[in-house]
Amino acid sequence: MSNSKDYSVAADDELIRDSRMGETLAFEELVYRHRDKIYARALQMLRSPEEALDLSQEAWVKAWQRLDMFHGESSFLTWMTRITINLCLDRLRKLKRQPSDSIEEMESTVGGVEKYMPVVHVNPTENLERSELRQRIDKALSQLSYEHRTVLILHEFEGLEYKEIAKVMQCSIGTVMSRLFYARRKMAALMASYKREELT
Amino acid sequence: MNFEQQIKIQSYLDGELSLAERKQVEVWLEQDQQLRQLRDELQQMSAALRRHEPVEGVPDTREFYWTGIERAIQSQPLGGAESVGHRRPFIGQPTASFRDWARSWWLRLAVPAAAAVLLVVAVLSNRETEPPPQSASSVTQLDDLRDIEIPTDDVNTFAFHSEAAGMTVVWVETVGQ
Repeated sequence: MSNSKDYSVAADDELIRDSRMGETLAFEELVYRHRDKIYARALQMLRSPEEALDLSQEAWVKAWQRLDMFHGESSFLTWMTRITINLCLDRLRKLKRQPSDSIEEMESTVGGVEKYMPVVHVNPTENLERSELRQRIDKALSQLSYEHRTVLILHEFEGLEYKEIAKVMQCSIGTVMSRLFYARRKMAALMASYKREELT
Repeated sequence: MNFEQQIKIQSYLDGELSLAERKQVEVWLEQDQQLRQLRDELQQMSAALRRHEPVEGVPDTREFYWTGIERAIQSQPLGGAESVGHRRPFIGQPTASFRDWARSWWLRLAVPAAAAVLLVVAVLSNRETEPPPQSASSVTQLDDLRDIEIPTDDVNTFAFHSEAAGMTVVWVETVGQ
């Protein structure tokens, strides 16, 4: 007997309920609705479209397996994003075991330079078109180490508090604070340098 | 301004300070122009990030993206690795994963059952033979092997018996799914 429900108009709650009962058409609709945001989050963290595609699909499979563990304390998208972030962090930690030759990465990992960065006086985001600003932000994010990029993503895009970020990243609150501080100051410095390049 | 003050400015903007700490930071901000400039820089950067988060859509079509996920879901046993023993009823046609689950359930029962049957057969046939002569070399000689084969689609079971050595070996092999 075939299922003729139109899931395109169903609420997420109904899709989740039917997915729990094994209805893959309902789950497909959930995937379709939220796939762009999940993919975008993976791409921001991993910085590789192929890896982000692969990992985002892996996150959906994991969500299918764990649907019974979703109890509605947060929205489905928030829950799904957490799964994605954890998978990204696992992958990045594995990659981090490989030594890096980048001086910038070492500098940002060791820390301390953020104490001495000069304050950026002119707002580097002023007078920019939205799409151009997004591009510059994306470019600047790619120049951070994964720890600094992650803490920025978790705080600014996911809205997590310091202690929540510390739990996700398995570090102390003090480390979260100093990484976030460095990341923000580095972003401001990079955005200011892009603006200077544009003027010269 | 020192580093502790700089970090406190950040925490102040992020709403992570107690009331007493907030009041302290506000006094610093009134007195120190550099701290005010730092506050402005952090505030502007934070606002820009929140308003202009880079967004990128999945580069694949809906069908292609879903196919990869569906294949992985259907290759999982029913309930998946995260919920061992959990079974879900189905709406509509059973998927390949349901069939895989049914076969694995049968295997878990069939393999020990087949081994038990062969052991019983081997023990019963052993009772009719005399014990082998005491010799260091006879224990390892299995020249008079009889093999008893009980193949099924998913399990191959073989028993080898040597009356001279008084030994029976039961080999159980699962065929790949």
